[in-house]
Amino acid sequence: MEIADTYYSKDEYVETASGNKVSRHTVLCGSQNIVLNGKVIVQSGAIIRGDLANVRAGRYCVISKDSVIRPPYKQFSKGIAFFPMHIGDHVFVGEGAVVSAASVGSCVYIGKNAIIGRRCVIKDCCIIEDGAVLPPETTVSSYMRYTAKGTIEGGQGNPYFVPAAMQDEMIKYTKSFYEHFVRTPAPAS
Amino acid sequence: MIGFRFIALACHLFCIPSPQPNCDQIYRTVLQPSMISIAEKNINKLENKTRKMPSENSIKVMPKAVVCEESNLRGDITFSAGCVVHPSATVFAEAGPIIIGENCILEEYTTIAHRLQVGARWDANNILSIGTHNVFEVGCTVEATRIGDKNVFESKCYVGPGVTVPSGCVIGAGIRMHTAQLLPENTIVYGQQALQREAIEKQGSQTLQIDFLRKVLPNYHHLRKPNHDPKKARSVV
Repeated sequence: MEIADTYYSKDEYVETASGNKVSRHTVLCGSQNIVLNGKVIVQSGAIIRGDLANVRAGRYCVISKDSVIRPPYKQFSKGIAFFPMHIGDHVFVGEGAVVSAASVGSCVYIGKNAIIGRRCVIKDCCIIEDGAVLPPETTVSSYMRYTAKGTIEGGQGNPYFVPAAMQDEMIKYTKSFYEHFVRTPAPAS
Repeated sequence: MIGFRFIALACHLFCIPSPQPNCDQIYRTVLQPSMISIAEKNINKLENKTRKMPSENSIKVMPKAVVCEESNLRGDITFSAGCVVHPSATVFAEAGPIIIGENCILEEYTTIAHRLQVGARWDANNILSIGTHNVFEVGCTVEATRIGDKNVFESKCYVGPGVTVPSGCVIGAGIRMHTAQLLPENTIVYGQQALQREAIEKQGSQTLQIDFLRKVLPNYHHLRKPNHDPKKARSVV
């Protein structure tokens, strides 16, 4: 799949040595607790709450505008604890999504304005549709599609809800997203 | 009678020739000079209060409240003790002051707005009061007319103007309430069709979370300093 180039201005994004592109208009709280494993794009308005617990994101993740990555908490009898959050490789998080999952596998597509409740577990190669609401502590097993209606579709004997080549598709998609997310060329003068 | 005096005074203040000669006479004969200065002050105050939203923000933070500096606050807002305001929360007091009760949590991208009705003006008496122990989760927008105690507004819900939320209610994630209505107490609004039912059991308290956040947030964020002490204010009065 070929994606059109998206341009960003040089002033807006910071590019790190490992190839992460992070907008200056993000709120990265507790940045010492956030690990971006390289080639991750964090777009403007995104919030990653590293102050609550560690957040680790794999390679080639895309965290779109105004999304919130927030470690989940659980209440115990003696106080509460925030759990560290792991996001796999090649994960796409859509605009305005709220992700409070305990873990997100690799090659996962999370749609726009999806809400992922506290301590959800999302396995590899899943699709969460735009505007879906996952109640807290939901598990979505691999190759499943969580619909905006609130059903989990797919699985054995019921394929075709997630492309069989989901892994390759997401790898291609996130890679080409990264490669086509380029700095605006300097005006020829 | 008082209104009449004010008109006369206002005329005098703005150096407009008073429409009726009697006004001036009454004003001179009835009011003493000391009273005039007091009246002038009152008029100024009234004008400030009724005309428009004060251009300067007046944000009162009680002791023990944790309010991140990165939040977006506009207008006359009071945070009571124990409130926790995460970064990039928005509170917008356009129509009148907002008073947020004790131990409320405002998470990221929360918007609490007290918006002007069409044709209305800033009114210092039009207070939006929010009760105690409310939780506003990530990305919710609340423009309700009144909010009681122990409510939970889940992620990305929208509560429009004219909705009255009493106590113990839960507005589910992603639910949009546009119609003006009065919710019964302990209502839970949930699901795709925004069904309503009564809560079976009461909501757990959020004090543990507040305790945790109060410990952790100061390590990572710049906070607004508490600038209002109710005990001291009382002793002055």
